[in-house]
Amino acid sequence: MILINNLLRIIRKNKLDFFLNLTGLSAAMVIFIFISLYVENEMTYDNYHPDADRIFRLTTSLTSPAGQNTHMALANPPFAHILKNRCPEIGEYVCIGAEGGATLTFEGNEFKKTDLRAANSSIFNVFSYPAVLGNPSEFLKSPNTIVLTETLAKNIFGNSPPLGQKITIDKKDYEVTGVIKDLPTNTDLQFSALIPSDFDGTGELVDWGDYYVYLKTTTSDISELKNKIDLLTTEKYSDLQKTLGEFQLVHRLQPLQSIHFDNSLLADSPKGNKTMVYTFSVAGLLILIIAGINYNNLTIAQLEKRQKEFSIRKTIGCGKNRIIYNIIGESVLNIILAGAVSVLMVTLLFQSFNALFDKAFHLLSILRLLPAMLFVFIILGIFSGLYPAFNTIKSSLIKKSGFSRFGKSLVIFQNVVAIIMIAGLFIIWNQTHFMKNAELGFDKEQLIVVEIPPEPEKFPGKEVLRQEFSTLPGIENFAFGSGGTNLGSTANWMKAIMAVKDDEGNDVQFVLNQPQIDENYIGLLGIEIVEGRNFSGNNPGDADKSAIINETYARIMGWNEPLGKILDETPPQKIIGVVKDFHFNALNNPIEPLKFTMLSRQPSYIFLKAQPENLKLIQQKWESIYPDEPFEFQFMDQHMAGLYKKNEKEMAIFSYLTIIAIIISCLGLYGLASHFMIRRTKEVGIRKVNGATVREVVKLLNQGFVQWVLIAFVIATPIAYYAMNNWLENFAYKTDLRWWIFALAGLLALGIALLTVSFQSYKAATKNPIESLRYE
Amino acid sequence: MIKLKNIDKYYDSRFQRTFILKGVDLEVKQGEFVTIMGPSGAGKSTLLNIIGLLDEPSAGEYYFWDEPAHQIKEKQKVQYHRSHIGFIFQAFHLIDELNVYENIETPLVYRSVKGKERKALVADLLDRFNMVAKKDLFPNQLSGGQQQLVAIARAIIGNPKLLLADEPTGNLHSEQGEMIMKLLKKLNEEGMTIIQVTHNENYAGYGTRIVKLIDGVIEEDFQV
Repeated sequence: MILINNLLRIIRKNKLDFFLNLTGLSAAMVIFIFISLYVENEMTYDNYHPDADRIFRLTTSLTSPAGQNTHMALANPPFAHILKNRCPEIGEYVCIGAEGGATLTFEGNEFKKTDLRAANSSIFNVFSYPAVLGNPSEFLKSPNTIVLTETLAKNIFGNSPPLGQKITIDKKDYEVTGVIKDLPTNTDLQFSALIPSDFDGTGELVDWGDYYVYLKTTTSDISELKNKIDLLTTEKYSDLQKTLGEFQLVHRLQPLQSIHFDNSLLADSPKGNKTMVYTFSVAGLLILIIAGINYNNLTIAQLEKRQKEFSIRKTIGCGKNRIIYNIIGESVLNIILAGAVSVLMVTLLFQSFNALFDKAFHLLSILRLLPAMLFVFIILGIFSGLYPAFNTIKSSLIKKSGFSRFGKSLVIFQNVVAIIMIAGLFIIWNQTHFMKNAELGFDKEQLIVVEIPPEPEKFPGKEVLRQEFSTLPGIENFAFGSGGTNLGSTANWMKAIMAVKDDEGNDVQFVLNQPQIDENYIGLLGIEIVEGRNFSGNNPGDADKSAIINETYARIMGWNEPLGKILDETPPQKIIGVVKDFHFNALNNPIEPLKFTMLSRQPSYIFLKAQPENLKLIQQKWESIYPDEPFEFQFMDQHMAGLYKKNEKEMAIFSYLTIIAIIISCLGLYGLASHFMIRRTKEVGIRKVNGATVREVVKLLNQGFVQWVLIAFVIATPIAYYAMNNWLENFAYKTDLRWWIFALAGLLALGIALLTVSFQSYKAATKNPIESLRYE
Repeated sequence: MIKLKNIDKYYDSRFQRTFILKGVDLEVKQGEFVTIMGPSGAGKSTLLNIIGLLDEPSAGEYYFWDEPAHQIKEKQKVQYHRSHIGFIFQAFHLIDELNVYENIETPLVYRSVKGKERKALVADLLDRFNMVAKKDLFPNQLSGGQQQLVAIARAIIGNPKLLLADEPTGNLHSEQGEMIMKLLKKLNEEGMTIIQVTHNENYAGYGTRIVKLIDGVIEEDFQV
């Protein structure tokens, strides 16, 4: 009680110190708590299943004769069936379809979902998805049933009971037989609804589909199982192997918990970014350290004022230990107080945090950490009290007018962190800006891409569409594209993994993009033809025997004169043109080889050059042609900008971290400067009496701080350079690291420090000298 | 040189006004050596601070060489401190981080005197005060008397017209006190106007005039 009383009195006497301390500490703690949550979430993907260590994903690896390896997350369901029969250590297996989109209709209401999956009923034996309603042993057992997550069920049915209701998907009715708890955010296997898979465990080995296969073994030791899988692969695929030619097929087992950060596989779920996890961890930790430094500095400065109190205490018989306990006790109380404020802030801010980090934390899941946090706060309090306590005991009554060496190095450290973060932020900003505004090699302005429904029976024919649309007012140009010529998202472009010999006989492998287009496409997009000619509708040979490639393709193949080369296809294709390289992907990735051929199938996209204000006309026309189909369109420029959403999000998070780091540094510097000025008031008084102007005094007082920022700049620049150079390695196309970015970061840090300090030094310099020179 | 007309200095608290100085009229001519005496709390230091432009009167007029000093701005005050007024204090108030040489040099730096000239002027004073050997020492390595010598050197190096001394001997034992007073007297004889505050009757005798202040009012004012 005495301790708390005493603390309250001290707080009342030092309101500014207390406020600075509390703000800095609790802000840092908020950041720390959020980042811990984020890191914990990222690091514990899919390990909430009780048997997570015994669940593996069966993957497929193909090796080309030249040794190039393609590792896919998909596997072969019939093979899984064979495995299960032949290997007793496999307890259960499940084949789960890729995520698909569909519209769920219930009583006329439509619910568009993109995360539907088909799976066997054994999914509930392999994984643990707690049931809320229904009998889990019956889930997905009969055809035309569906299992929903709690949230989706609530969205569709509101408060009425979902079980037994019928939902329509693609004109087929599904009966709701079960509702399971919502999936946690930290799973790579997301879905909101499950329907039974049509795979029944039999079928030919060559019947592949987009299936992910998960196995649950009886032990976590799988070395034996791996051998069996290899043996079975050789045995069962012997026929298939012949058709694959020299390609080598191997199935591998991937532990469930390692899936999240392993981005070496094709056709895999979205991956976690380890760099980001590390960057944010380090930034969060640094912010906490800065706040800790502030706390130490301010506490020491404050204790100095209380030296007299401690001396008096000592003379009336208070032991050294007691003083130490006292100081540490105060520190623990202070930190717990800051902790309480930070927990309050966390509960207020966690929604914005969720939005920023794409997570879905519940308040309860945050508050479950409370006991652990309390423990950490107490430990933190003890540690941050230790140094000031011993410092106080040691430094009897000697008054120093500067900072201690410790204090100085702490201020320098803070500035190092600040400069690194500012420079980093500039570079991240610069890179994102560069990518969003780079010259793409084609004209993305006023380009509207409209999706054509895939059903052939609905397709009115190219000529009809062309007629209908190109006669609309305001349409400047019109083209078809197919095979997902949706620039920027090349996922549904036809791609081929090429393993061929180049002109000099060397083996080369690459991914070849092969979209199909019509003769207007290149002109419409403004892609530059550097050699040869465009496709022509009048030239019958162009329809299937001609190809136009990009420069990268020619370069990889080592063709100096690509025109006229014959590509080994059926029928053989002659290269009639070469287009200048253009960025069809985000600039994170290098430009891949590309081959245009003329449309042979039904086009999947219409490309329109039109003023946005004519969109209404286009839509009306669309609805007259396709009365039942939604008008799905995209502006190309928006689409291209959208590719950098992830980068922009990371930038936003990093900006927040930087700003908070700077604010906390400033708080510390402000508090420290105020003590520094108090110690120098006498000197300021003397100097003023001797004719120093306010400006001269301010300059003198600021000098030290400027020096430290300069030292920090010298330390920070190489670190920032190294770190940001590494970061930029993630991008195929990057901005240069310019010297002025670092200079600007240093100047900014200096400016911020000066602004913070000058307020104090001005106050000190304008103080009436007689106050400080009065005889003590 | 200095003319105070009906100077008041007071602090308003909630219910009453506390006077530190009340109706002080004082004229000091160039070349005088005035000693302000009086018991603790009589307002001596406040009066000295007002004369030295460190404090402002609450009411009344103050002319420094016929300039209305009660009206001048902060910036002009700095000019006065630079060229007209020198201070010495009971607690010496040297800058602990600077050595003897640098302490004496400080006012010249603020007067933008060139390096070479500064060196000459400081050397001159060090010589005159017999402190050449001590020029590299720091204040805490000096005795009180020596510290006050440095403080006086610093106060007069800019050749001020007026030297204000607030209990210059208060922290010194008698032998050193005498030395300081003799020095002040000598400076006065060389033409410096000096106003000092002291408790000590003996030291008052070094001056040419004594002003006795009691409870903020001048009780006596006489030539020695």
